[in-house]
Amino acid sequence: MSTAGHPVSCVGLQFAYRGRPPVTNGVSLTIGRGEIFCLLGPNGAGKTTLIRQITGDLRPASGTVEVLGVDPAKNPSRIKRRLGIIPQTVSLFENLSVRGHLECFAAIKGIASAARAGAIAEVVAACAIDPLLDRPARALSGGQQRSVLVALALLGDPDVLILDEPTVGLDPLARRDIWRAVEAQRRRGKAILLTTHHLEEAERLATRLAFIDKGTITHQGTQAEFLAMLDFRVKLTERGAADDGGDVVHLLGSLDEARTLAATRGAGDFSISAANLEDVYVHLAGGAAMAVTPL
Amino acid sequence: MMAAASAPGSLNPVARLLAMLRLILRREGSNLIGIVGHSLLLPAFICYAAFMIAPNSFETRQSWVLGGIVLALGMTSLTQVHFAVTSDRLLGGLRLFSALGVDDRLYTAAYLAYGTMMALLVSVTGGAVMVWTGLAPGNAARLPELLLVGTLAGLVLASLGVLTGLSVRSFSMGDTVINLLGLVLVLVSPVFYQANALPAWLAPIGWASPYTHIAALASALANGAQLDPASIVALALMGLLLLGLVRHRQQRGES
Repeated sequence: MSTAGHPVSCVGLQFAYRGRPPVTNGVSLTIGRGEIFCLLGPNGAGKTTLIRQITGDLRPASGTVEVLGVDPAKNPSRIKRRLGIIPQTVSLFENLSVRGHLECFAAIKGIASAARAGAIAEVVAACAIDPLLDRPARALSGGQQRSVLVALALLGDPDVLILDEPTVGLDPLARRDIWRAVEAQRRRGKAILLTTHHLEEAERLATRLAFIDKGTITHQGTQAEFLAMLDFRVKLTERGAADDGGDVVHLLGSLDEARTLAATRGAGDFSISAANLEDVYVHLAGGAAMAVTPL
Repeated sequence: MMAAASAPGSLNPVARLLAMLRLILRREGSNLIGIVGHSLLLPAFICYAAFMIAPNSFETRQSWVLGGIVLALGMTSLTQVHFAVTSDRLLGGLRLFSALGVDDRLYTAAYLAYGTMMALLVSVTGGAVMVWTGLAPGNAARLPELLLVGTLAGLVLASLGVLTGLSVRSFSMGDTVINLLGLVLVLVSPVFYQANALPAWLAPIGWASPYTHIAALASALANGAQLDPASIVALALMGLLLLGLVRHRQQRGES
């Protein structure tokens, strides 16, 4: 794998906590400019551990990480000033106002005092958090707190964004606000690493995907390449047709096949949908989420 | 399009430390009533009680007021720093700091600075109380020595607070550890009595407690005596040892 010129490149990353099996096992990936690289995988697959190696919080046992040409483990503070990171579970400081957070972290990130007000105004506008500025963090909803975290991550105009489940626990509207902000960053040429369990989010945002399981990336590619793994394109769902009252799902090669099958089954409550990333995920994770009736 | 001016400037460690300290002060400052309530009311009550119980014994009053000041040093620097670090670890603040570019060294330095500022505040206030109540001579020439003792005390106690905060697994465990630690350290140190009142077998153990040296130095300042260099060196060595342990704990936490 050629890693030259990519803002993020990992080759053969291996990491294990003491006395435990490897959490990442030979992970290699690259993320280019203007790319949203989405990492999918079940809980405990190694996504967050991989992210912590990329951000320099963990030093891999073997393999190399380069972020903007620098080994992050050797100088995490320096590299983090050029990263925008939203960790999976963090909370803001409850008694500090949103403005207080932005001012303090702008200074901690090393933004010169003369440029600080402008930098803050830019991220406030990008994340639409102007009405929240004077409110203490404890008075914000979960979605508003995540928006503020995105704004903090964007401070300093970072070249690389690391988003570890950025919309977890958010309502659909708040989630869409964050998607818009992330897409805007991609259009500006940022390299973005995203982990998520919302397959809809991955479909909406990802330019490339990887599936990680037990510390190993088993598949990488575009959404089209992922969908091509399935030997079906269309799902026909027959509601309440199973013996236990559940749905019966038929996996079919084309829309015509689905229509034909629906006609032969007679009266019933049918729905037809295209195969999507969730089907690929279930396929890769080895799940049995669908009761499949062969034709 | 974001302006290039918003990109991070040159990495000035002092400016970043001050920014981090300002963040801590703004965050913790909003809990000022809690800090005063937790840290200063008990020592203030001890000082008040000393005047009520021993109105005619200068030595007893001086000893108890000095003890109250040393106790206040511990409760502000050690306990408050421990509580803040424990909160950061358990409530996600540490991850937020880390995500936004605060490395271990900056984090520790900021909390040591915060603990030292608290210790200096208590030292200067305590010194003023001693002079105001006639328990110590008012000698402005010794202010630098007072600041030296406050700084050393703050560094050692705050290091102990950071170490405890990085090591405990829950708030209740943290409370237990810090209360026990504070109690044992105060009990084995001549904080509320003269050093020669300690049983012989306890003296070596007491020597390992920072409160022993803080109390000895505070007592010397109150009595117009010279500071014992051995106590200053002992506090400095304890600070270095604790800083080494903090560094080790942080590295172990990432392994």
